[in-house]
Amino acid sequence: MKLNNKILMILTGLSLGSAGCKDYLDEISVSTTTSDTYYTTAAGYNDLVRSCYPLWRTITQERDLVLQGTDIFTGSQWNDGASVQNAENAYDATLNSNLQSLQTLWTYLYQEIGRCNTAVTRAADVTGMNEEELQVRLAEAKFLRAYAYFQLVQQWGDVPMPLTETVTASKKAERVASATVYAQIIKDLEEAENVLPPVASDYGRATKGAAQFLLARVHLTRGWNFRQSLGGSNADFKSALDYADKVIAAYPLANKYSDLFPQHSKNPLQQGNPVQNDKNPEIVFAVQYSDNILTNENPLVNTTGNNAHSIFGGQVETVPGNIGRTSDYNRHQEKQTVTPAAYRMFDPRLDSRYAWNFVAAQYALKDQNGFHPSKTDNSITIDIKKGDTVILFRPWNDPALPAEKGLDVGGVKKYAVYNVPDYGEPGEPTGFNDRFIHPMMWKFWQPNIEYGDAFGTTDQILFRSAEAYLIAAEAIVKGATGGTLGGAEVYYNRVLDRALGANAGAEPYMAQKPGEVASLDSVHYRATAATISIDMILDERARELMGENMRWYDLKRTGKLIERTKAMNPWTKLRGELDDHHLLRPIPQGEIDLSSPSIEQNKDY
Amino acid sequence: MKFNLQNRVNWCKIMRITFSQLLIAFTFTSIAYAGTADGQAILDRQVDLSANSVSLDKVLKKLEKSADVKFIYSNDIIDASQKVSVNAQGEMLKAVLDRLLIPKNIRYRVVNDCIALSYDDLQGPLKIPLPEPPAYLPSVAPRHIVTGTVADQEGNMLVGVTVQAKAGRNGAVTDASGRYSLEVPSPNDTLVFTYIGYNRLEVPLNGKTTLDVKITPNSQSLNDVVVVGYGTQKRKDLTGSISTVSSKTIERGNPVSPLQALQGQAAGVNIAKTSSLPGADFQIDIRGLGSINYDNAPLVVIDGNMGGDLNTLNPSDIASIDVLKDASATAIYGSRGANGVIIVTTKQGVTGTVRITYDAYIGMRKTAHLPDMQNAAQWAAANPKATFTATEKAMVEAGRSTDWIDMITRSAAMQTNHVLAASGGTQKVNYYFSAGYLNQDGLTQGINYKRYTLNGNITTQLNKVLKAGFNTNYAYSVQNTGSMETIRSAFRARPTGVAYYDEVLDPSESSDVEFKGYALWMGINDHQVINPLIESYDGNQILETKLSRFSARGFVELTPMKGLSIRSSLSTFVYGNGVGDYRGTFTKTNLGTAKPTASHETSSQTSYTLDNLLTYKLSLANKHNFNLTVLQSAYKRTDERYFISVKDLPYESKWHNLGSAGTIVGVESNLEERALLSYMGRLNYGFNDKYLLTLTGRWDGASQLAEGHKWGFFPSAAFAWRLVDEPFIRDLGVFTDLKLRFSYGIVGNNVVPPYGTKATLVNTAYDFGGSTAFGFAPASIANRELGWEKSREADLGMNIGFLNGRISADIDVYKRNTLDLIVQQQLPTSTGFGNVITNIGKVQNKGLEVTLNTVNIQSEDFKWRTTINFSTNKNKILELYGGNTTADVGNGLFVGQPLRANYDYQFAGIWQLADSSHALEYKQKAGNVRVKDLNNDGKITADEDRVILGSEQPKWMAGILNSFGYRNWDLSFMIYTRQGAQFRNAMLSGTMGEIGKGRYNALNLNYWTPENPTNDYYGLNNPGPYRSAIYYQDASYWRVTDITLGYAVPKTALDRWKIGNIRVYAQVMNPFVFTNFVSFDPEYNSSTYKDDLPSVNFTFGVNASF
Repeated sequence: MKLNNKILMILTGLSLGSAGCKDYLDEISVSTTTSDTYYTTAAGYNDLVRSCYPLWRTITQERDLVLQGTDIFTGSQWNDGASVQNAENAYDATLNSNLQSLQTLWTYLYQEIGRCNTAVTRAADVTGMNEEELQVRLAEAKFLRAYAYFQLVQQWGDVPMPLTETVTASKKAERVASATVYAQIIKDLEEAENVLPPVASDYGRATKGAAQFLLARVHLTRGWNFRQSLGGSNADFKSALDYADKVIAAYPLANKYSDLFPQHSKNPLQQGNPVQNDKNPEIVFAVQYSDNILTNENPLVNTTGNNAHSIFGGQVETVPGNIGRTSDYNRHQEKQTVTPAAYRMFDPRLDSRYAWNFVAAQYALKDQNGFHPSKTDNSITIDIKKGDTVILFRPWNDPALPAEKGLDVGGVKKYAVYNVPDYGEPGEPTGFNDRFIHPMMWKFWQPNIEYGDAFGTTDQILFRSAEAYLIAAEAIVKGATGGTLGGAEVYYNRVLDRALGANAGAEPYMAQKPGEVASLDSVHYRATAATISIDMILDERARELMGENMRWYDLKRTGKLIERTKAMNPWTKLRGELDDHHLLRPIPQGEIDLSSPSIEQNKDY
Repeated sequence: MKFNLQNRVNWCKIMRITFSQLLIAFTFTSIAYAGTADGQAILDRQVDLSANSVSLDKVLKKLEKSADVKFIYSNDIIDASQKVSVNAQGEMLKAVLDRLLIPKNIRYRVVNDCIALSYDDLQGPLKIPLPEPPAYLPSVAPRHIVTGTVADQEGNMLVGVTVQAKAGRNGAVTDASGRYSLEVPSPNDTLVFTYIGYNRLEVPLNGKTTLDVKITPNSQSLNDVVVVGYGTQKRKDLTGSISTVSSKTIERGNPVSPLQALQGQAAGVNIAKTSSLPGADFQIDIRGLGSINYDNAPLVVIDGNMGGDLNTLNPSDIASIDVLKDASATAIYGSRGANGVIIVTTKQGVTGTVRITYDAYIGMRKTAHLPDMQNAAQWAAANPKATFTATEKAMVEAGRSTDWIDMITRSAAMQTNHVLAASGGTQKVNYYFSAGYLNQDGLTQGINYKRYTLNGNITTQLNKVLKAGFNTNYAYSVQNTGSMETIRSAFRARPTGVAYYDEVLDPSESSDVEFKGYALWMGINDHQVINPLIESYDGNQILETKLSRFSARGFVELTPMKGLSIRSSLSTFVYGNGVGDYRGTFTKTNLGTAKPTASHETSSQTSYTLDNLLTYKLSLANKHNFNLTVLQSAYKRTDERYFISVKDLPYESKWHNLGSAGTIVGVESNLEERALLSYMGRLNYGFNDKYLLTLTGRWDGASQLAEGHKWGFFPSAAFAWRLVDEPFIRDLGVFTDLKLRFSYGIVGNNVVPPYGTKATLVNTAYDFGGSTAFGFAPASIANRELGWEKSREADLGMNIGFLNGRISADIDVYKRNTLDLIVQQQLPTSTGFGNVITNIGKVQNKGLEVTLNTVNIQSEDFKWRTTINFSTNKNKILELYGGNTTADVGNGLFVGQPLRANYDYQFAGIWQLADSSHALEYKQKAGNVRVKDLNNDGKITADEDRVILGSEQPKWMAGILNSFGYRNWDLSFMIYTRQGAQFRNAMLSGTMGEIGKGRYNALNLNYWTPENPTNDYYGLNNPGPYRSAIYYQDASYWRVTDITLGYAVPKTALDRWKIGNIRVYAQVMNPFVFTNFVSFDPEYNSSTYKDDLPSVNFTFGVNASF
C-alpha cells in the first residue's frame, strides 16, 4: 500500500537519522567554558588572575579570628555581661574545632590559594600573551598566595601547602612545618617583588611596594620565631627594617589621619555629600570596592560590598528619637566591638584619632514628645527634638559628675551621659537605653549609602606606610640596625605626630592601666629612645590601626596575646581560660572529617 | 463520528440522539434482530425494489421510500458506498434486508420507526460466519432475546461489559446505562460476562428473558494486562516484580497528586511530601536509596512517554499505575530506569460506547496537629533578660497573649475539584478527552494552588496493517506561596507583641510603623521579624510559580504480517516554568523603607525521545511461545534558564514592568544539554505457559559521562515457574495461583548533571580603581574517569492465591548492590575545591515486600476487603574509596551504615545540679545538654565520642486499606505507617528550639530549670557546647490517611433521569497522626520556612457518569 510504504520510508529515515549522528553524545557546554580551553589564551589567563582578587573581600570581612579575643576588640554580647561571650573571646570549651568562624576563614583562604595555584600552574601553557605581562600576572598570583599562606600559618601553625593546581580528587591534607611554609611565603614574595612594577597597570593590583610591605611584615613575624618553629633569626628583623624603609621611601604619609577613611560628619543630620577619595599615596595595598552594583554587592556573582561601615558596634537603633532601620547610623551592629580599655588608650583631647575612631554623641533623628527618661519616676518627661543630643559619651579622663548626668539617673541633662566605667556596667536600665551601651567605633562610617550589611563602596586598606613605620620601630627594638630615619622612637613619633596634627610634638596621655576602667591614672605616650618598648608600639598600633585586620596577629607575634588580652578584655579575663595552647587555632572539624588519613589536630583541642 | 440521518423530516424520537460540541452520545450496543411487535410490523411491510450494482446508501434510500421507514447508521462503521444488487417485488422488508445485509455482516434492528444498522459485533467483521439466512421466510424459529443490566457491587452500571452466550456466537456490550440485549440460541443457554479488572461471571438462563447481574472486581486478575516496558503482558506471564495500582484505588483516596495516591499502595515505594504547601512536590524512592546526592526519583512513563511529571497529572485521568521494581522489569529502560519505573496508563476510550463522567468535590481544610508554642506568660517567664517594651509588659501583666499562628490562619481554606471526561470509540477509532480544574487554598492568606489539566488521546486503525495514535497531556498550574516567611514569622514572633498599630502603647519604643492598621514591629523592639499579618497581607509579597507542562506522543505501527509489528514513536515534553517574586515596601526585605523589589525567572525543559521498536511473536507447536522486542532509541534534553532581578520599583507592578526599576541587580542565563543513545533487545520465551524466561540486554550511551566511559551494557535475565499449572499442585486443589519468580540483572545510572566531567569556570566580579574587573575562576575539578554507576540486583518472588482467590499475596525479597556509586564528594577544603562528582564505592539495599489482598466477607449485601502492603529495606554502604577507608565523616559516609546517617554526639539527658562537679570536668554546667563520653576518657572529643545515631531512611513502611460495602453504601479507611526514620529536627535546631534566647518565640518544651530538673530539654539560654545532640528525633508515625463514606444512588431513582450512576461521598483526610516527632508533620522535616500549616481536610464529592 502506498501509505504503508511512505510510513516505512519515514521510519527508516528516522532510525538512520538518529543513529547516524556520530557526535550525538559529544558534550559541548555553551554557557560555561572550561579551564582547559580558556586558560591557555591571553584573555583567559588574565581572567584567571583577575579572579584571584575578589575573594580578598570575603577574607578580610572574616574578622572574628583577627580582631576579637584581643585587648581592644570583643564580640557582640555586651548585654549578656558575664554569662555568655562568643568563643573567640571566651577561649573556653566552645572554642573548639566546630567553631564556624574557623571553617569559614580556612575555606576562603584555601579557595584563594586554589585559584592562585591554578594561575601559577597554568602560566607555562599560555600562548599568545606578551611575556612581560604574563610574568607580572604570575607574580601577582604568587603574591596573593603568599599573603593567604601567611594568614593560615599565623592562625594554625603547620598547615597543608598545595602549590600546584588541584586536578584530581584527593582526600589528602598533610600538614607542612611552619618553617617550610614561611620559606615558601618568602620565596614567592621575593619572586613577586623582582617582577612586579612599582605602579600596576590597574590601580588595586599587587605592586612591588605591596610585595616589599608584606616581606617586611613576614620577616618581622618570622624574626619573633613563635615557639622556635618558624625558622626565623635576628637577620629577619634586619630584613623587615630594610623592606619597611623601602616602603616608607615610596609611600609618604597622608597629611591627616582622617584623609585615609570615608569622609563624614559627626552628626548624621548634617551629613551632606562629602567628596570621597580612597586613593591616598600612603596606601600600599587595599581591597578594592566600588559603587558599581554589578560588582560591589551582587550575590549573583558572589561579590560583596564593604561591610566595615556596619559591623563595628554598638547598637544605635534602640535609643529614643531613632527611626529604626535606616542608613543614618550605618546600621551599626554589635559584631565587632571595642573593649572599654580601647577607649582609654587615647588622649581624647590631643590625639585626633580618638574623635575619628569613636562617636562622642548620638543625635535624635526625629521628634519624640513626652519621652519618659526614668524607669522609676514616671512624672519626668522630655520633649526630644530632631537633632537633639540623646546620648553623650564623656572622655575617659573627664568623667561626668552625678549632677552632670541625665535626668534618667538623677542628673539634670535632658540626655543620657555615660562614663567609660558605665560601659558594660549599666546599673538600672533607664528610658534611654536598657541595653549595655557604649560608643560606636565609627572610623569606617560612610554616609549616603544604602541601608544594609555590606554596601560600603570605599576600599579597605590592608597595607599603608604608617604601619611600615611601626614595623621598622619594632624591628629596631628587636635589635635591627641601620634604619634610614634613625632609632625606633623616630619612626614611632612620626606616626604619632601626624595624629597630633597641630599639636605635633606634644605629650599625649593615655590610661596607665587601660583595663582597670575606674582608674584615672595616666601616662604619656610620646616615645624616647629610652622608653620605647613593644607595649608602646602595640598601644600605638591599637590607636593607629584600630579595626584594620591585624590585632590578633600583632599580639600573637609579640608574645603579648595572653597578657594583654587577660588584662584588658573583660570577658577573657572573667573566664580566665586563655592559655598558651590558644596561640594556635584548632584545625576545623570539617577538614579533619573530610581528610583521609585525618589531618592531625593542634595540641590540646 | 458522523451520522447519516437519511430522513431528516421524521425524527426518531426515542433514539434520543444528543449532539453537543464535544461529543455525540450515541451507541450501537446490543445487536439483535428486531424483537418487538412494532418492529415486526415494520419489517413485514411490503417493498418493491430493483437495484443492480448500486451503492448501498442509494438502495437504502429507495427502501425508505418504498417501506416508509428510516435507516440510521454511521458511515464510520458501515461502508455505505459498497455496491450491492437486490431485486424484490412485493416482498416483506425483512426478507429483503436479510438478503441484502446479512452476507455483508451487517446487522439491523428496529428501534421504533427507525432501522439501525451495525456490524455483527464490535470486534470487526464477523469471524465466525453465520449460517446462510433463509432466502425468503418469515422468521419462524422463536427468537430468544435476553435483556438486562450489569452493575458492580455498589450498583454502579458498568459500560462496555462483554456479554456472550456460551453456546452461541453472539455477543453484546453493555451501553452507557449498563444495559444489554442479546439473542441466544436456546433459552437454557448460559451467559458469560467478562470485563477487564472484574471476575468472569457465568449465569445459566434457565428460560429467563431478563437477567440483571452484578460482577465483582478482581484487582489481581491473572488475565489482567500489566504494562511492562514497551509492551504489555498478562499478569500470569510476568517474570519481574511489578506492583499495580488501579484507577479505583487512585480515585478512592481523592488525591491532589497521583503520588499522594500511591503512598502506602505499592510495597517498596517510599513517598513523602516535602512541605505542606498546596502543589508542593513529593519525594519518592523505590527499594531504598541508591544515589547519595542525586535524585532517587524513578522514571515516570505516561502512555509510553518517558520522563513525565506525576505531580501535574490529573489523578482522575489515570487508568492504572504499574511500578516496575526489579532489575529484570526495569532493564528495558536501561539507565533511565535505574531508580525503578512508574508506568502510568491513562484512560482510553472503549469501542462502542460513549461515556461522560463528571467527578467533583468541595472540601474545607482546617489546621491540625500543630506543635505547641509558648504564650506570652510562658515566654516572659522563659526570657527574663529580654528587652520588653511597655506594650509587651502590658500584655504580660494583663494576662493576654497573641496567638500569631491562629491570626494568620484562614477561617476556611477551600478546596474544589472538577473533572469532566468523555470517552468512546468506534470500530476504527478510540478516544478519550478530559478537562480538570483544581483550586486549593492554603491555610494562610496568600497561599493558593490552581491547576488546569487537559488530556486527550486518540488511536486509529488506518487500515489492516497500519495503526496510528496520538496523545497529549497539558497541565497548567499556578502556585502562589505569598511570603516564604509568613509561617516562620508567626512561629518566631513573640506572643507578647500586638498585631494592630492602635494597640502599640508607645510606637517610638519599637520604632513601629503602620501598614493597613497593622504594626510592622508589633510593639517589639527587636527588628528581625515583621508582623506575620503584614507578611501574609494579600499582594504585599508574592511568590508565584507558574508551571506549564505539555507532553505529546505520536506513533505509527505497522503490522505487515502476523506476529510482527514495527512501531515508531516520537515523544516530546515541553516544560515551561515562570517564577515571579515581588516584595513590596512592607516586607522583611524592604523593611517599610525601601522601594519594592522584584525578580522573574523563566526556565524551560524540552526533550524528545525517538523510539523505533520491533516486536515479533511466534508460537510453535502450541508449546513454545516467543516474543522478541528490539529497540533503538535516542533521547535529547535541553534546559534553559533566564533570570532578572531588580530593585527600586516606582510602583507596585509586580514583575510585569521590570524595565521601570531604578536598578537592575542581576541578569543570568544558562543552557544545559544532554543526550542518550540506546539499543535494546528482549526475548520472552514461554514453554507450555508454565516456564517463562525473559532475557534483556541494553546498551546505553550517555553524553554526561567522560569520554571513553560513555557506553555501558546492562543485561538481565528472569525466570518464572507457574507451579499452579503443574498437575501435582493443581491436584491439591488449594491454590488458585502459585508462581515462583527469580531475576537477576544489572542496571546503570547516569544521574549526573551535564558537564560534570569538565573543569568548569565561574564568573567573578571585582573592581580595579573603580573600573569593573570581571574574571573567571576554576569552579570544579574535571573528572575524566567518571563512568556508569551500576547496580546488580537479584529478586526472588512468589505469587500465591488460594481460597478461590479470596486470599492472594505477592512476596518479594531482593538484594541490590550498587557499584561505582556516583557521589558529589566533598573534598578537604585545603584542595581549594568543595566537591567533585566521582564514582566512590558500593551500597547495598536488601529488603522484603509483601502485598496481601483478602476478601474477608463476601455476601450479597455486605463485603469487606483488606489490602496490606508491607515493605522493609536495609540500606548500607559496603565499601568506600576502593576499600581504603571505613568512614568519611565529612561526607557522612560510613561503611556498614546506611546513607543519610546521622552522626553526632549521643544525647544523655541534661546535666543536673547534683552532677555539677562532674559536669565541670567536661567544662559544662547544670542545665547543659549532656552527651555520652563513649570512651570514658573524661573529655568529649570529636573523633572518639561521636556515633551513628540513626538514619533518615525508614526501617519499614506499611499501608492498610479496609473497604466495606453494604448495599449501596461503601466505607473505607486507609492507615499508613513509616517506622524508624530519624531526622535532625529542623524546628528544634531552628529558633523555635532556642529556649530563653530572648528574641523569638519558642516551642513550649519541658525545659530544665533548677526547680524542674528534667532530662527533656536544656536550661534557659543554656545549651552548652553540644546542643546539636538534642535535635535527633525518631520520626516514626502512624497515620489514618483518610476515612471515606460513599453512597451510590439506586438505579431506579436514576433511570428517570437517564443517568448511568451517581455516587456521593464524604471524606475526612489526615484525621489522626500518632507520633513523638515535634513538628508539623513527621512525614517531612519542616523548618517552618517556605511552608504552610498542617491540616485536616473535610470533603464532599460526587462521581457521576452518563
